[in-house]
Amino acid sequence: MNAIRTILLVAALLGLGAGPASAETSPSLTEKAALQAAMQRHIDRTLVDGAILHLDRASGEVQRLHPVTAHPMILIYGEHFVLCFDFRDDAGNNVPIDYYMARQGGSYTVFHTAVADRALLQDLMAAGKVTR
Amino acid sequence: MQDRNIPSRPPWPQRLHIRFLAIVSFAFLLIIVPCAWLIFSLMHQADDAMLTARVGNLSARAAGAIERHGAYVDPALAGDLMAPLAADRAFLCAELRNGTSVVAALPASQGCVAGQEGHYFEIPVDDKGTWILRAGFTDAELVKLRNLEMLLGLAAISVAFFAVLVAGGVSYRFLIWRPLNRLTDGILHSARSGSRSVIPWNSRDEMGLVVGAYNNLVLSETERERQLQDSVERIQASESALATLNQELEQRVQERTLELEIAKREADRANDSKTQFLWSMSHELRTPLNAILGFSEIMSRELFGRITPVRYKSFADDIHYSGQHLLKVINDLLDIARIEVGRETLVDEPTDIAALLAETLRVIAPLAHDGGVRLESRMDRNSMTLRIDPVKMRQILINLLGNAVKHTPADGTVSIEARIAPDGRVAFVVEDTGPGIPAEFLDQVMEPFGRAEGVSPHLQKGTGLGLPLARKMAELHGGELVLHSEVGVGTRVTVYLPANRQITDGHITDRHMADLPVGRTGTDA
Repeated sequence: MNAIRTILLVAALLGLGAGPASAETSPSLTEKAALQAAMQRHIDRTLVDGAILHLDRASGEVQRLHPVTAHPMILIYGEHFVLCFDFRDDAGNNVPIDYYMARQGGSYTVFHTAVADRALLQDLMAAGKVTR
Repeated sequence: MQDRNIPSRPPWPQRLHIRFLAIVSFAFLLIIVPCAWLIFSLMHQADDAMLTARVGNLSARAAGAIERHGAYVDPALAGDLMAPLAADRAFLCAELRNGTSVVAALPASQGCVAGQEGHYFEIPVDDKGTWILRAGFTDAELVKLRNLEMLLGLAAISVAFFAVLVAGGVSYRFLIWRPLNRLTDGILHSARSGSRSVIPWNSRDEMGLVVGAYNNLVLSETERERQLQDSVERIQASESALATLNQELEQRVQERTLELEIAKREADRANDSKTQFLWSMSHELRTPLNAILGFSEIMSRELFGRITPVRYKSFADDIHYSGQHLLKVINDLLDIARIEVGRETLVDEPTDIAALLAETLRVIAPLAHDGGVRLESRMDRNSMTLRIDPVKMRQILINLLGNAVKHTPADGTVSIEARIAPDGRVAFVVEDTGPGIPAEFLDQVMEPFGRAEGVSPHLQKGTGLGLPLARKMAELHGGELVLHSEVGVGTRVTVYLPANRQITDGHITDRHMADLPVGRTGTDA
């Protein structure tokens, strides 16, 4: 009986976990494509000679970050969204940048940029504010 | 063994392997279905994300290229910059718009068709938002691919489910059903036939333990039955031997009984002959003895003149005394013989016991006086009258008192008491302070001529007939004689008479009291 009860419990958890918890707030394919395009356009506009410039507070130096590829995953942050793009610095190191985006009319705009700050996103996910 | 006590196999739904497979199937589906759904859902999301990322990025890059090259005014250039979008099969169309007017399109001759099913989104091309790139795409291929994956997944799940059923069924059959079936068959066979047999199964799993435990039980039960059978056989053999022994014993008993009956008849015949001989001889002896006593008494009393020499008178006295002694012996023998042959009968009459005791003590008093023995008599009531033969009762008491006086040394005491025993019988108790009789001689002195030889000279006085004769006379009255003696203390002889021989009790007469030579509380004889 204990084994059966365990099986039922695991199955229920799997079912709940597999469920589209964010299905109601999940953006449609159109929105996702628009978000990816808006992020791409934002990056294009911030490029300086093909790279974005980032002030490293720790070293006090300006880093050149070259865009590589976009992450397909879009996270939901309440009414907003979080998208990620991989960059590479001059030394060839990968630098992830998270873009926090909001709706603006029929388009989308970036309201916060977190350069190599995955801790912020992880904290928000741990707090349940950011979901898949 | 009754079949109704043997349980039959359960119906299919209740059989163990059906339940086992049902549980396995349920557990499998319970786990695999949510897992598969989870996997498909994640794959779906990932595919959507990949598609939208690809479409979004391509569109944005096209928009960026149009902006950088200022292709707003050059539709051909704008079309060329949008052309790479067609390389992606997900794209349906793209249009560079300024307000509602389309400057460039993809496909160039058509652009986006109104009402075409798909997903459409717009990307601002310039900073002011005057120029818009509108793109349309479809996930039809994803849906097809997803359906195919779903189909393959279901097929895989079905195959896996079937494999699980087969594996579960085969495992159950080899691991559980076979040993369980053998165990069940063995138990049913034992129940039907009553014989137990070991089940051949040597696995080391739990079923092997169960079958091994059953085999151990069978072996122990078989050993116990064998021991029981051996015990039964031994008991039967013992019973048979015992029966044979009993038959032999019964035969021996019958033989011995027959021999004893013959011996008893011979002994009775010999005893009768002896008694008859004693009776005849005693009778024959008394006739000449009377003549001897009479003539010796005449001579002893010198009725016909003095006898000279004087020594002859002494001889005559001895002859007379010896004759009297011989006469007493003969009379005693004659009485015993009469009682043994049943010729002695009682002449019962009411007898005053106080008078009887007084008369008896008068007879014994001279003998006691000569021996320096003090006589005492007691009664526990004033008077007592019994229906007895007074002659024989007097002889009993004289014999007992005479024995007591003879065996009591000087300054000793001999007492006689008549009383009612606690059980209602009448008891005559004669006690002395003599040397006593050892316990091993008590039975012997109760037999005729049975004296305690070699013990004490005191115990060898007399003929050895007084006590046996007293006992026989007491038994003739329906009573008994009990002898109790303790060496160094004295002897007590009690004659019990049946209670129904009492007639009256009351005050003893003055005449009887006056006749007593000794006080009721005891005086010297």
